[in-house]
Amino acid sequence: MKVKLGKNLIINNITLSFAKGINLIIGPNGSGKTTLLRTIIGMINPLEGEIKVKENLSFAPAEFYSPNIKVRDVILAGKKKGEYEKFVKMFNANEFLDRDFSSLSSGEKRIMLIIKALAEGDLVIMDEPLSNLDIANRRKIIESILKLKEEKQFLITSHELEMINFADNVILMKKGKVVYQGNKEEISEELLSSVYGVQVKKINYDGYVFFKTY
Amino acid sequence: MLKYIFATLLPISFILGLLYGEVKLNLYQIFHPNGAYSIILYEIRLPTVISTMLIGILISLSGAVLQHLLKNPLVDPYISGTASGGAFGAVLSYFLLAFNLPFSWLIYFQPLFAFVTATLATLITVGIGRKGSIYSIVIGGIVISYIFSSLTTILLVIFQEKYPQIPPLTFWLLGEIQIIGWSDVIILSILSALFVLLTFKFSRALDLVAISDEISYTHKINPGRQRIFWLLLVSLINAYIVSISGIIGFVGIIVPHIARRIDGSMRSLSIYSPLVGATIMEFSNIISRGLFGTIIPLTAITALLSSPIILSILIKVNQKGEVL
Repeated sequence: MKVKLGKNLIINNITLSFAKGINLIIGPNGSGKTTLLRTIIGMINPLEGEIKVKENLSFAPAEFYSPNIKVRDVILAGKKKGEYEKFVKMFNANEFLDRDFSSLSSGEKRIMLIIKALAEGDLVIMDEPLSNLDIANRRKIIESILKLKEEKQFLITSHELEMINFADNVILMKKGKVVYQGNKEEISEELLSSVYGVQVKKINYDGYVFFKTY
Repeated sequence: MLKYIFATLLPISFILGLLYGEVKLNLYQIFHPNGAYSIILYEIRLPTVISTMLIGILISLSGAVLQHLLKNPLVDPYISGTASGGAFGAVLSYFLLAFNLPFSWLIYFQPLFAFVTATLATLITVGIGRKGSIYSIVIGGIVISYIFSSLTTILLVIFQEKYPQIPPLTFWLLGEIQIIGWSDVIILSILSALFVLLTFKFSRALDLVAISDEISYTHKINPGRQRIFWLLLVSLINAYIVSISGIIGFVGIIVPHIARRIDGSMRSLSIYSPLVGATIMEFSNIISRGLFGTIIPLTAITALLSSPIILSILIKVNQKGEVL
């Protein structure tokens, strides 16, 4: 698949397939992660190649506009039928339903849009779901994804390398190309260091891996 | 609470609109019209009052739709340049008189010309503002409005020497709902019914486009196509309004703002923007048509009524650093 935006080839000759469970796309700023997501949802047409999506897609954006709309109407916007109550309960967000979406904090807004995405799709795409969130909200989001990964497929972009711990399939991108695709165990310090251009150190702690730069 | 206030004010404004004008009627004459009063009531007052409300409905809902689609609380058909563009086209159509077209035929061509230039002006403004902050559209729109208003002024100066029957500059630039016949009422009613029904039916889609283009795509809604469709519809509606009433400003900004206090979803706005818009337009037109002894151009009144609310929106936008 090739994708061109303006004069530049943003995504060059990539072939991807997504696994069941959590697919994580990582890579430096400008590596084409968001462009890839936008191509998958049909917002951008690829120059070459094709995208086959059988599942019902949904999307939790990193950037959005906050109109003065009740949270309930935000979740119902677009009129796709979905059982959202279950996901509202999962996040203890019942009290938010009748509040004005624009009056929520940025973290709360993100969670409401994640509830919407979980309710709407079988392949849930999340663009930077953890950015600008405090550790408690991050944990809530990660837990919900882990809880649902048997019944739904996830495609997540993130700058948080710790997300690798939860991924079933990791896609590492750089300058529009996929430099690695596969399981998380084989992601090495050397690979990350070369992709990001800084020294990355992998730290094992309590069964999880953490990454530090120095 | 707010909705009940406006639901009460609307019929009051309707009655007051029938009473006040160049000839003041009293309640008895309204319910038992005869002679000259019956002509004033049925041929002048009633169509004027009804079309004022319909124009209020259409401009307000246009504002609500534009604000949603462009994700900007400061736009309406006036700011987006739609009205000024339309006025230019409407005035431009007078050149047809040079080809010996009867003056009475012009009413059929005028909205058509207005539609073309209104669409052009709107698309230029939206094009300028597409990538920028919320102020890009506002500033871009003001510049586009000035360009088309200046062209309108120049054209009118040229045309009026030859055809003194053309309405004056104040009518075109500042609006006036005065001489409106039943045929206009019929067209305005059809447009209003259509517009309210469409916005109500597609309210969930409009809400989604307001929130996120990306989510819209996963719902098989193409936000670009949505914007084009609604911008064309808004241009069409406002082109027609401008050709019968000149440019009426600011109502389209403040009414959705008031209606959002009730509920900001398009489903609710499609009902309450018309309610609030009809009421505010009717009261403005009562003042415009001579409540205080003289006829005052409509936009002079709507601008004064709206400015406190618009200033408060600006301050709020500045404080939060983001819109709404």
